[in-house]
Amino acid sequence: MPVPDVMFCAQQIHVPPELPNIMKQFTKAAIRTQPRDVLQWSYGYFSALANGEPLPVKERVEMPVATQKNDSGLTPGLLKVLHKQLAKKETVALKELQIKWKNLCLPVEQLHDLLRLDNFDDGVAWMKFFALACSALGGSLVSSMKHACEILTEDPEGGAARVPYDTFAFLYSYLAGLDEEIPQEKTESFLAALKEQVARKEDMVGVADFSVKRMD
Amino acid sequence: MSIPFSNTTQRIPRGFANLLEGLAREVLRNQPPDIPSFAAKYFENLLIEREKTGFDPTEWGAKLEDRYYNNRAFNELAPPGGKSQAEEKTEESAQSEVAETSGTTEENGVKLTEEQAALKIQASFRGYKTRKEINCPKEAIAEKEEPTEPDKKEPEQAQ
Repeated sequence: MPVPDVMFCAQQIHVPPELPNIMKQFTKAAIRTQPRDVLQWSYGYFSALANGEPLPVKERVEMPVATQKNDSGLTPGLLKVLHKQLAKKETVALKELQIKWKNLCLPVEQLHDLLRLDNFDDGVAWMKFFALACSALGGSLVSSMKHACEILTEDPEGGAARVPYDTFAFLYSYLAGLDEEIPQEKTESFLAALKEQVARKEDMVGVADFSVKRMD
Repeated sequence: MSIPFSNTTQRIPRGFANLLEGLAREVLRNQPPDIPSFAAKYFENLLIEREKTGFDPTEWGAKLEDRYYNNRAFNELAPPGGKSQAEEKTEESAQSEVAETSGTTEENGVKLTEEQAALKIQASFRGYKTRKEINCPKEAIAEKEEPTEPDKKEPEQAQ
């Protein structure tokens, strides 16, 4: 008997077997990420899912911290999402960055402000942009590096947040180089001292290694 | 940093339910082979539409949710105009002319919602009851069958 075109009852609706799971994961991601513009974010979520890219989802809920300057801008959680999505390539096309930025409901003005800090005409060097974004998160150089370590680390959350020395040295010298107030010799001596210090720790720099040192 | 101990900040984003509902409906209607890419296209169309017409389905859904969950507040706050005026007119014709103050309309509003609530409760309870009745005979039969069979077998084995 041919299937009738007319719908008589709910049993005639064929529910794709994968649909419930997709919707469940989508909802969980939305609750966890708490996007400001749900529609824009949903588009980003599904286009990433369709293309097999990392999803624009925070790993865990980010509590609105009181010290956060503006609630609409970049947060450590969002930067981590961006890093997860874009860090595969060394240089990222400006357009791709713009799309990803927009899909996380981040203000475009902030992106332009960040890009103005360095010359990114032919592609955005991701680690440089990442360093600039970290400097937007934390006011001082040390707090920017702290954010960078916490995002880049493979340690479990709340751990020592260690990153390889080379990565740390690159980010630190890049940010210090942009800051005209810091003389180059000081940066070099700081990095040399740090290298000696972490040589017996498998060349991994933790947050405690440099933030405590400053307080001495 | 303070330790978050309450889950009140973990909410479903405003208007998300509406988006999810729309997506599920369109997926069921179109039966696409690749759901993620279909969903991406669906949301892209909604975005384009929002840019063109300014119609935001999430905002609309959020308004609907607000109206649905805070219906009582809407009823109480609503000035004697619009719907309540129409209600008043029917009341006036039915009741005496004296009952015209806003107090009576409020009372009526409460009564109406109580009636509706009662109807809903009754309907759901009846549904539950009939479902139970339908399910019960099966269970009763199954229960009856189970004990009878071993009863028969046992004497056979004994013999």
